[in-house]
Amino acid sequence: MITDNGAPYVDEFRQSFGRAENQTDIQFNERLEMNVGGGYIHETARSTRYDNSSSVKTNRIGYAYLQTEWKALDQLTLIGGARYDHNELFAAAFSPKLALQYKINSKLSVKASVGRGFKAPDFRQLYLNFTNTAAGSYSVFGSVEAQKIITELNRLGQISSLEPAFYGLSTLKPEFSTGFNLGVHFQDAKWSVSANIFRNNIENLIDSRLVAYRTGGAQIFSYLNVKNAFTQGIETDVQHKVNKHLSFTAGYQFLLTGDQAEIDAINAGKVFTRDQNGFSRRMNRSEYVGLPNRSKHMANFKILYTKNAFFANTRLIYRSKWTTTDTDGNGLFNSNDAFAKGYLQVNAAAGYEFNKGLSVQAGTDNLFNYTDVINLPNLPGRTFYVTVSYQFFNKNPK
Amino acid sequence: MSKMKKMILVLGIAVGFAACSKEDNGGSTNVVSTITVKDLPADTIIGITPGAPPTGGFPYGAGRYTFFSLESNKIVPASDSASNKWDLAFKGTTIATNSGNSGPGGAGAFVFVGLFDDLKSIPADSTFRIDNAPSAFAIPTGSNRAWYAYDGINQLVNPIPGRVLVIRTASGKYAKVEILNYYKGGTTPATTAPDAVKLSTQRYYTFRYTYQPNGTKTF
Repeated sequence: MITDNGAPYVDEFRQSFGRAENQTDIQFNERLEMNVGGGYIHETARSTRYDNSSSVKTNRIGYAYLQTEWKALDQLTLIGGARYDHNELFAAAFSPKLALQYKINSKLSVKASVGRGFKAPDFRQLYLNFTNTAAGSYSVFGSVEAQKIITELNRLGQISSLEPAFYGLSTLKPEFSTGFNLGVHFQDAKWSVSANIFRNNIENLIDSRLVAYRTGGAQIFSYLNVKNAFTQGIETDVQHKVNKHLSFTAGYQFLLTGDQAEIDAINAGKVFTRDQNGFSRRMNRSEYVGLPNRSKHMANFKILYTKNAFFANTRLIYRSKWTTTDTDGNGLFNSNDAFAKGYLQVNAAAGYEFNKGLSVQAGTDNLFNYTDVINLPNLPGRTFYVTVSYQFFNKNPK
Repeated sequence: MSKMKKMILVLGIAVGFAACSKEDNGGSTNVVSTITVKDLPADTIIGITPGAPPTGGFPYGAGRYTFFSLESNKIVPASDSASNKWDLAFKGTTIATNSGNSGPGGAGAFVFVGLFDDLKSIPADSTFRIDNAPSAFAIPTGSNRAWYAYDGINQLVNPIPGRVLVIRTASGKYAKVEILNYYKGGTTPATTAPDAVKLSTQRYYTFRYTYQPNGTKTF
């Protein structure tokens, strides 16, 4: 492999990660339990993926947490907790959490929680300098590097266009969020069913964005903060044992996302799109898509059959379309923009375990050979595989 | 089947223009009229540099501007480029004004964010920029700067909605311009169209403008 300037490709990555942690569990009585803990992380990274290997990035993070679980009644459990993070490069944050679980009967329970979250930008989001020459030649630059590198590439005539997100690049701020959850759970011998409604208000969401194109079309991504983002939706999960041999699991998520600042701008009539004649008109709220790279519908289904030493399974993963590029240039993502197509991926596998430690497994991933080089550079086409493994010291022969 | 679709599309466009010109000439109370200019060539592509990106493979034109007079609604010959006869000049995605080092005129421009119809008068405190080519044009060049956004995946140029070019003409009158399309026939090729089509049909401007001949800033 060679780099853009023709020099041999050197991929050097050295990271050291030191962590000291302690947790103490205290059981006051049958109904009250407490966990207290704390830790310290010392992280350094030195990599050609992060700019040049002579500069070392360092961060120190200290944290402490406390959680109390109180069985107030036989049916009711209250959980209260808090976490304190001190991140040397960013901020100190206090994140409390409160949850409540109520058992309606032996099979049915409800759970509600509200909590604060804190996420500091990581080294990848800050310093990464990575070009995947194998898959579409896309690049990812950390936010600290992106503006500098892209401006330089632009000066050299290697950039064909700068996206609106490029102008929004600035020093990454840590992300603070408030999450609300309300869920029900049903469980018996054959079924496990849960449904959960969620809403997250995220201040300075750290989100990846397409920021520029190189001449020739290769994409450049970086990270920026979305000021007042939200995600909300429903997730459901079903597990069912049909009989001794056959079981299935199914999951589905419905997701809506957005940036409150963009919704305010739409409502104020400051966002435009075009009509059939090419004349500009005001954009409607209903045309707003929200955050890029998120699908409204995601689902998975798995069916598993086992009999003695034999197993077979099939997994279906579905993802509906998602928006990728603000092609009409109005600064946000709407139904007139570019979308990646929704897709279904099917994986199937079967295997047999012989009784002397030998096992054989064969399968195919991405059965229908779905590929999208531009939007899913890391999804290979149909893959067949056979694995044979042998365990020399079989402690539990069948 | 696809031929039929194309026919319907063409018909649809024809109806669209008919409706548009009716609006322009019809019983409007406005003194000024809005004119739509179609397929103004702007240094159309004549070849592609040898090699592949990033060193080659770039389309190029003859490198000549098309000069246009808003007052007379006509293309002005290049031999008159050193005169007050033109207001705007088009070359690829660059739009020059007859001002600064682009021409001897007293033109100027700025980009108004909003709807064409909503711009009824130019605010008194507006600042008109003048050209300082090639580093800074009154109408900034580049994707997502002034009037267009480049779709790098599909390699198409799309005019940004809600952008009005407010123009002071070479002779000090005022006009407003909305760029509607960058491709021949006023229709952007499909994202799946072959590169050859995207290249041969680009650099043809469709735009609408209102010119106020009485020297005031109202439309």
